[in-house]
Amino acid sequence: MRLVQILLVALGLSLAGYYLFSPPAEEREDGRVVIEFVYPGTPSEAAIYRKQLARFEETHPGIKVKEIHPTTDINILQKIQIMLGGDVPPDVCWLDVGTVYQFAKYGGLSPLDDFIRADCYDLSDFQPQKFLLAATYDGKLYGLPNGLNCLLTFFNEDAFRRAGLPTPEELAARGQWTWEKFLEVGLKLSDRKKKVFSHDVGFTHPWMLCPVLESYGERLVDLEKKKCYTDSPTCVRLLQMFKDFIYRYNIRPMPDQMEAIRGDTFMSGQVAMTFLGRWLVPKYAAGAKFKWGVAPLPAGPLGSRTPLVGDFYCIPRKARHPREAWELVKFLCGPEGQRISAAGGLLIPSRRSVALSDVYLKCPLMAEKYNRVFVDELYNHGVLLPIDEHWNQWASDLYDPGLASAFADRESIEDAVKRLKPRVEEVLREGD
Amino acid sequence: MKATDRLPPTPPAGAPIRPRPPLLSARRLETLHGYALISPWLIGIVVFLLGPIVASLYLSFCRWNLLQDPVWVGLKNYTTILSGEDKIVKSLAVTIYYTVLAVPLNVVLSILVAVLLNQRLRGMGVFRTVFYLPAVTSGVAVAVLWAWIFSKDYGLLNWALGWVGVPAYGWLSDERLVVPAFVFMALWGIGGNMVIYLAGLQNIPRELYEAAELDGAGATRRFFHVTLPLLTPVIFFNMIMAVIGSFQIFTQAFIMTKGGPNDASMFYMLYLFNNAFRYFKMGYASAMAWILFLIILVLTLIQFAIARKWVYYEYKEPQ
Repeated sequence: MRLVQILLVALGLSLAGYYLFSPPAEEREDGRVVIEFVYPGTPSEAAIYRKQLARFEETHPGIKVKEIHPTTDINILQKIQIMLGGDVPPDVCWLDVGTVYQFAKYGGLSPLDDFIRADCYDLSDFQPQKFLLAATYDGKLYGLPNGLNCLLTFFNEDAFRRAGLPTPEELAARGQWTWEKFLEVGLKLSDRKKKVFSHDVGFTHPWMLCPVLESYGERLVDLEKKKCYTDSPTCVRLLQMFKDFIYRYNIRPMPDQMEAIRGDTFMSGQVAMTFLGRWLVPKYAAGAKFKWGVAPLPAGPLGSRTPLVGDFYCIPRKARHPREAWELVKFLCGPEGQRISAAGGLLIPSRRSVALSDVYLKCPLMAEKYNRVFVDELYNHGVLLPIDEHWNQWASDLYDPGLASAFADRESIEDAVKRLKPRVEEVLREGD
Repeated sequence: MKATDRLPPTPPAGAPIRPRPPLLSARRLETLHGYALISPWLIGIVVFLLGPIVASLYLSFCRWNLLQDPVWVGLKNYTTILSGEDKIVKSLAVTIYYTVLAVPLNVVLSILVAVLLNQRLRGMGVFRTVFYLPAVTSGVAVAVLWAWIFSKDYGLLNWALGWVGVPAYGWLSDERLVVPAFVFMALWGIGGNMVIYLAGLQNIPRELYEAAELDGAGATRRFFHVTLPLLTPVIFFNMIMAVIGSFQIFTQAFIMTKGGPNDASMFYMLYLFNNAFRYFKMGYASAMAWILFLIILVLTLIQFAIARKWVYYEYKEPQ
C-alpha cells in the first residue's frame, strides 16, 4: 500500500514537473497556428480589438489569435514584462509610446526591419513619419504604430456662450488663442466661491510641459547631453504662470481640490476647459449634457504645439511564431485594421490614408471639423517627447511629483527647479 | 570463468528456505513513504521559496533589467543604497513614521476591542464577526473604499467631520495628513490581531481573577495586574508581526496615492516595486529587499532582547 502511495506521489510530481518545466509545445488548434496577442483591455478597446481580430482570422485562415488583455495599462506592462522575463513571451504585444523604447533598448523586442525588407513593406503612409522614431532604437524599428493621440483644448461651448466669450476654436481660427488670451477668458469663466473654474490641468508632467516649452522654442531636457533645462528663465516663467493660475488668478482648483474631482470636472461642468486627448471623445459624446468642442492648445511665440503620443504593436524577441506575428501586426496597422480602429473613435489612425478618409473624419462621435483638428494638430504641430529608457523614472516619478510642493505653495518655483535639475540629470545619466 | 560461477551457491538439500529479503526494508520503506508524502511541500518550498530567495540574493549583486542576462556589479547596489540615495532615505523615513504611529495604536486598540468582545453578552458572535470582517476583505477593495472615504469634497470622513464643524481636509493630498490617514485606515483592519488577543484572553484562568477579586482588586487592577501580564506573550507576538507588516505596507499606497503627494506616502516597498517594475532595476530592487530583511531582522532581535524585561511566561497550569 505504502509503495503504491510512493509511486503515485512520484507520478504526480513527475507530471507536475513535466508541465512546469517542459518547453511549450507548438500550439495548434484545428490545424491553425495559435498566436498570443496582449492588448489593453478596457471594454470599449476590447470591442474594437475583437472586431479587428475576427476580420484577421477570416482573412488569415491558418492563424488563430489567443487574446490576453489585462484591464489597465499598468497591469499590461507588468504582464508583458513578466512574460518576456519568464521566457513565455506573447507573439504580439501592445506597448505605448512611453515604454516601447525601454523594451527595445533592454532587448525584449525583435526589430521589424527584416520583415519590412522581406515584404517590401511600405512605411510612407504612416504619418507623421517622425512618430516612427519613438519606436526606433539603434537605427532599427521595433514597432508599427497602431494609433496616434495628442493633447487638445476641450471646451464647454455653452459656458463660453453664457459668458459672452469667443470659444477657443474661434480664437484659434483668428490666431488669437494664446496663453495671454487663455488667462483673459479664464478670469471671466471662473468663480472660486461657486467652485467653478476655467480649467483643471497643471501642465507639470513633462508630456504636457514639453510641447508648451517647444512652442516657446525651448526644451525641458536634452537626452544626448543628459541635460535638464528646467531652470531656464522661460521654463521658470511658464511654471510660475501655471502656478499663478491657481493662487493669483484663481482660475484653476487648488491641488487638494483636484484630488476628488479629477477626470470628470469637465463633464460635470465645474471647469469650462480641459486638456486631454482623443480617448475621452467617446465618453464626452455619450455623457456631456452641453455643447462641446476641441481646439489646439494655447499657442506660444512659435504657434501651438501638441505631444505626439500613441501606441505600437511589437513582436517580442523570443516570440514563438514571428512570421505569423508579423502578419497580425501588418493587418492591425494596415488599412483594413486601421479603418476598424478608426470607427471606434478612441484613436487617430496612424495611416494618413485612413486618417483623412471618411471613416475617421465622419466618425459620428463628434463633428467632422473637430475630428479634423486632431489630425491637423498632429501633422502640423505634433512634437516628439524626449522619451528614453528612464522616462517613467524622471518624468512621471521625479519631475512631476517633484513640483507638487511648489504647486501646493509650500516652495517657490525657483527652489523646486533648482532641486529637481540635478536629480533629473542624475537619472538621465544612469546606465552610461 | 564460466557464467554459472557467478550464481549464488545452491542451498544444501533439506536446509530451510529463507524468504527473499524485500527490496526495501520496512524501516527504509517507512522513511521513503514519509518523504514521498511531504515531498510536494518540500519541493514547493525549494522551488518556489528557497530558490527565489537564493536567486534574489545573487541578483542583488547584479544589474538586471529582466529582459537581458544579469551583469555582476558586486556591491554597487548595496553601496548606492547605503550611501543614502534620496528616495531610499525618504521612503525609509516614511515607513518608519508609519510604523511608529501604526504599531502602538494597533496594539492598544486591538487589546481594548478584544477585552470588550470578551464579555459574555447576547449576540457577541455577531460583533466579533463584524470586527473581524475587514481582516478578510481584499486589500485592493479596502483601498478603493477608503479612497472614497478620504476624498476631500465627497468623502464620508469630511462629511461626518463637517457635522461637528471641522473643515474639510485633503487626507490623501496633504503631505502632512497622508501617513496618518493610512494609519487610521490600518486601524480599521485590527480584526486579525483582535482575534489572537481574544484567544489569549480566553486562555487566562478564571481562578486568577477570582483570587484577585478575593484580595479586593477592582476591574482596573485586575486588568493591569492579571490580564495584561498574562497577555504579554500574545502582545509580543502581535507586535513582531505588526512591525514586519508595517515595514511591508504596499497595496494601500499603490492603489490610493502612488506614493504622493510629493513622495509623502512613498513607502519602502512601493519604491522597491517601482525600481523593479517601472525602472527595470531588478538587481537594485533585490538589494533593497535584502536590506529590508536585515532591518526587520535587527528590529525583531531587538524586540526579543527587550522582551525579557516585559514578557511574562511564568504562569503554569496547576498539576
